[in-house]
Amino acid sequence: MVAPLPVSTLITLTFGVHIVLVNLDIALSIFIPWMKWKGTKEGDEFLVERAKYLMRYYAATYAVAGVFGTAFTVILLSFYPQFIGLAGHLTWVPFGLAILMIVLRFFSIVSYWYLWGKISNELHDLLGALLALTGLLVPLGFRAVFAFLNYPAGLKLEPKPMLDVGEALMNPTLWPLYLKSIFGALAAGSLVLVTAYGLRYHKSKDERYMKLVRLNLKYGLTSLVLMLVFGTWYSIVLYFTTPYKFANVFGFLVGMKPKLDFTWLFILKMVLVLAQLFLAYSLYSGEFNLNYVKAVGPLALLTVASGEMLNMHSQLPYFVAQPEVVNKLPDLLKNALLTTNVNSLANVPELYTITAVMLVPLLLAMAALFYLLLKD
Amino acid sequence: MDPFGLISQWLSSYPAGWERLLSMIGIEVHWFILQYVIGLPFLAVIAEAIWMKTGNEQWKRLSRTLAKGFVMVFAVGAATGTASEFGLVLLWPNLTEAAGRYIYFPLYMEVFAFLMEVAFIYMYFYAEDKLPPKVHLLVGILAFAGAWYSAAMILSVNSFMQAPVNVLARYDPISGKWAPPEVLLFVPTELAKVIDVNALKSVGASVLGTGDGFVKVILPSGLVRTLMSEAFAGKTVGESTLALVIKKEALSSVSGLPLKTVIDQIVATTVMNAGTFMITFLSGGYLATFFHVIGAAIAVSAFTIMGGYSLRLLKMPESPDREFFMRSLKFAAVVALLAIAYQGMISGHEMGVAVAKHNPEKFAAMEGTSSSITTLPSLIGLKDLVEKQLMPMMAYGDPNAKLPIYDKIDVNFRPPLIIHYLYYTKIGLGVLLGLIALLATFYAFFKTEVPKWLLTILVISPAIAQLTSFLGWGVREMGRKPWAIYGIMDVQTELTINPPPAWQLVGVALYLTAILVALVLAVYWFLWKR
Repeated sequence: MVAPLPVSTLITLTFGVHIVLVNLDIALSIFIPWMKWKGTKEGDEFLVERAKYLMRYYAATYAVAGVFGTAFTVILLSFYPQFIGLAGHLTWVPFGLAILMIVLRFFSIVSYWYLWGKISNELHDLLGALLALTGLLVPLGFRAVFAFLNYPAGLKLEPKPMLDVGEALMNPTLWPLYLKSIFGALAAGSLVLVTAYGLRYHKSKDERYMKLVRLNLKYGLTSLVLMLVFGTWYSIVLYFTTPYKFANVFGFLVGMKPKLDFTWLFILKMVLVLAQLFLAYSLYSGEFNLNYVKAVGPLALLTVASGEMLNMHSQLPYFVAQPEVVNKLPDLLKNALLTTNVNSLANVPELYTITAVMLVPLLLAMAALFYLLLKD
Repeated sequence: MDPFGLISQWLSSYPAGWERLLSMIGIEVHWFILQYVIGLPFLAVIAEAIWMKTGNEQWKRLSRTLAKGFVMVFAVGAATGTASEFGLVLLWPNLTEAAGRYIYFPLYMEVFAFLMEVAFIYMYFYAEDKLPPKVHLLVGILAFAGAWYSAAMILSVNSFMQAPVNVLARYDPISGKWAPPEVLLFVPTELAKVIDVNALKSVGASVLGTGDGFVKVILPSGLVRTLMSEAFAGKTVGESTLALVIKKEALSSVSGLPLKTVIDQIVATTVMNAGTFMITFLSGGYLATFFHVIGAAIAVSAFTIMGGYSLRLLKMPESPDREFFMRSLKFAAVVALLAIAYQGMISGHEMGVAVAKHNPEKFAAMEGTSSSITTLPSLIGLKDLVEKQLMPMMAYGDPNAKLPIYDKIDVNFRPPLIIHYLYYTKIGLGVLLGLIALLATFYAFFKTEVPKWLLTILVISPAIAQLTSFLGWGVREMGRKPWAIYGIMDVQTELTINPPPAWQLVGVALYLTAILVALVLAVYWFLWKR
């Protein structure tokens, strides 16, 4: 057992919702300013209107993603306080950069949304560029932390635990992980928009929606292929730097004996990717097919979820996926890095009961919010 | 002590001055915004309820405008909250770890408040035309309830840091005698077996009795502070002060244990005996804090609404919407007046009583009972009246009570004296706000027009209200020094082992301030530019 079931369920749920919405968020923060800029430049009112309409969903999606992100960190703090404490001592620079970008990002979202039509187009587009830029930079800080958890480049234990930031940024797993994630997000965002605009097209037969479908199919397919390229790079780097995780992901496929076998999840992710490639290519090169349109967006989101879960769970029970390093550490440090070492004050049935009682109606309320938002 | 000396005392007499400054700015930026998340939905719901009762569309319009405002500030508040959360983890990781381990419950429960806020605040704004009016009103109530619930949780954690339930302040207002605070701990029986009771008494501790699996012990807070510091510094039992009270024959078997593991067992047992889910809510002054904070948020929101509509009236005196502006101003004036009166006369008083009881050192600094400064009451010739009669009577309800004397407090337990000036400035600004609200209410109700000079004052009143609220938190938080958690953990212990260089801390502080200014400008453009 890597952690008590309720703990892993809560972490999986909160991180899962957060990361899927964050992927949409990254994509939308690039697409929306681009659509608005292009629409204004070409006098395409429809494109500008779509951009503004998307922004409405985006603002809500972003807030929900942020709330689930905070929920995830608070749950981590409650169950793994020593790990969070240790992370705090070491990660001033990567987390600090992420904080600065988060604050800037909120500023750009709020100002871009609320100043739409109230300031000059040029200034507004500049805010849009800032929105897109922060969309790319926030994940960089967080991916730097994830890369550190793969392979603790830059970690010094003597004379005290500290992080060499230069070395940490040269972490061999950082850039392939980051690029894979960005293109994965762009692919997911594009393909969700294919579903959204495809359904609109089906309802209205307005060719302008079809144009958007084709555009998003093009970007979605390109991004998906690039995600596969960077994903392959990431896998190769993991093989050399983080064999424990590599074995847990690829297991019998490469003749390795995993400690925790997540090969099934890897296979599932690949099947989902191949299905998307097939559906997207068929739609792009052939006739409009409603079933394909309906399937491609949800499949893209499932791919994101499965990929992130694979990346997260395949290193358990270690927060840093290097058993040979972790196991040699003094007890206090070692305990901080094991997911089996759960806060005994929090790991109690009463807390799980309270969680269920509170969470179920609130998730229903969240579902009602999205239903009302999407309802015409 | 001159002003420079006062600032220097606050920044330099306690560790991590720059880190504290950055935390103060980061949290203030968050609090600046948060007050609107707490106050605006509440006021929007009241306006909507009046609309439902009267059918006057202007109330609906006001409610809608306020909703527009809080949807925006909620998103910003969530961002600054995340930034503050990460900031606390990065600068004060040991405090964060201790909070996560021992008092996680309200933090954990706040997650549900966030979900509640995000679901209902957005539903209130975006789904207005898709819900029946009564359901929409209910959604609004749930929206502000979410924000208040969130405040209730986080304030319990803050209250615990100010006055934990197991820490006993030692000041007798009748004799005027002060002693360092003491800490009641529940030591697991197994651990207690290796402790030498006589040695324990020699360090000022006392054994109160035993219970099911524990021994109740009272320790001087100075000793607890040292043990906490040694535990987080990674010392073993043998290297620590605890070794002094371990039985000689047992020392060899426990001396290699990490002190942190031993301290953890004691604190965890203590927390369980106090009630893991309840411990923070039992903190001294928790309820007073909660109601004072809610009152502050409503007051700041009301003054901001007043300021906004006053600006409209100043800039657009002939507007066809004039009647709407006046109605909105009138509404905000009444709320502001009620909120300020409540703050000063009820919740503020309760807060003062709680501080006097649970944090006498802070109370002494607030009242400036030191020969090294000139207090504000003494400047206006009211020193004796305030120090000897008014404040002791208000704080302790006894004509024979005395204020704690700052100079008689052990130097290691003294908060910074600057809070005396901050506190009395806050009181003065509070009175000023009360007068402004009174004038605004008078003109709005009994005259057909509000004079320009008053409108101008009303435009700047949100800044005064924000400053007053900021000073309140300043007194509370700066006055917590030298402690991170009163009687238990000091500032040095909570600090990261890798403190960032000062230029980075100052850079981040300037960055946060610049973003806040840009946001205020964006809000101004959004709400008031046509």
